[in-house]
Amino acid sequence: MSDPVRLLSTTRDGTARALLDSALSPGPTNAECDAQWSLLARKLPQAVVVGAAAGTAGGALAKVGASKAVSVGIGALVKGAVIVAVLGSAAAVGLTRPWESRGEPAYLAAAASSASSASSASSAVPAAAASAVPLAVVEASALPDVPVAASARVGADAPASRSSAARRAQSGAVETAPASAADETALPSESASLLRGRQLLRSGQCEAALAELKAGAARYPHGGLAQEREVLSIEALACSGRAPEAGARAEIFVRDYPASPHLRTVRRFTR
Amino acid sequence: MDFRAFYDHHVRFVWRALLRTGVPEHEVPDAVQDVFVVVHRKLPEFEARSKITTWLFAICIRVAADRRRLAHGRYEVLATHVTECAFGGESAADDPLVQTAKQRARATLESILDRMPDEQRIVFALFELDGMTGNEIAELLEVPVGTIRSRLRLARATFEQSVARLHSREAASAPSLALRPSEVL
Repeated sequence: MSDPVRLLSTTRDGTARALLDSALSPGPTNAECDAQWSLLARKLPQAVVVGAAAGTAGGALAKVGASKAVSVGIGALVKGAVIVAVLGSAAAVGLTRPWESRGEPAYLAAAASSASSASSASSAVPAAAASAVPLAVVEASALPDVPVAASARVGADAPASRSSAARRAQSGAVETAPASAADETALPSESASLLRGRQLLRSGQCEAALAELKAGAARYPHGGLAQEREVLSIEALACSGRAPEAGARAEIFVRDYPASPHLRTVRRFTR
Repeated sequence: MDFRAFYDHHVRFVWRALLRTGVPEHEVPDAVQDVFVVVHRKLPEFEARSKITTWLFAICIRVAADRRRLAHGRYEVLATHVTECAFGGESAADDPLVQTAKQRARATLESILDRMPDEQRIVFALFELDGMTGNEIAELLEVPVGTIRSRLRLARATFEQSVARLHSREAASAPSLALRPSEVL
């Protein structure tokens, strides 16, 4: 009896693919490993850190060396979307509230001033929480088309055979990607449309932004960025002087997405 | 082999093992520290009766379980980050909106994996996400390969049911992405 085929290679469900894709990881970079070692070295007795072969730890390490270190690679290098954990300040960049650092648009400020005290209280991002979030993601298309192992120090636990096998599996998945996964594969173009809408909005072209966002909604009715599009649309409506409409849609958004990460933004527009 | 060499040899394995045993990605660096502190303390007791990776993986499972017990507000923190990335302007990395969708997907997947018993979750993650074979997983966990495949079947059923639930909710509400964190259950 053999293993089943991996879901990523067979599933025709765009949501399932998006979920599985989101967790693929190339693992830590050399810099991250070195940084971890620097921290770890401070916690360990110096004699072991510098590598005394004698002593109990040294003896144990010898045993480890004598035993066959199994080459179990759990590194899946994929050509498709990958997630990269970006540690430190790079992730903190996105944690600054834009309207505080760049000047809040008047309509947004007005909405904010009328927001409830609970809302304003929740808008304060604790610095500790912010600094504790090192997540950031980059699209595979933004990365060089080379295996991570080629540029990273390859540990014995991540053999090339595993990487190539994973690449083959992923390659198969790409080749067999069905049309039903279109929403997922359309994410970059959907995102480009959304970014155009946002740029128009930020430049004060509120009606144009609204039109762009509306066109995006028609083109990607089940797209992966529907929530973000709706949030920007609400903002664009408010910007266009259509506050009641913005408020109504904001209330619908809050009702439909009670756990949305964008609630704080949207609640600024509820009536 | 000194401890630094040992660390270099295994740190990537430990990093991924922690990720696959349920440690949130932003906590993995801290968890790596925890694992190697334990390894350093316990290494003298290691008698090479099992493979070193099996031993390391068992430590990772324990560290991950401890951290999950202590985890509070994980999605709230993630949600804050997601919001700020999406609307944080041009200074965010390449495409903040794509990031947002990916992170929401990741959070949703985590909530699905959290529904699985640990032994199923680990097998699912190692097989589906890391591309390990059933035999490799069986060797790593020191359990029969039939058991591994059985766990995988159960885990897949949970995953597929959760995805179906996402679709039904999506159909019931406005056109939107089903990938909403913490709404899967």
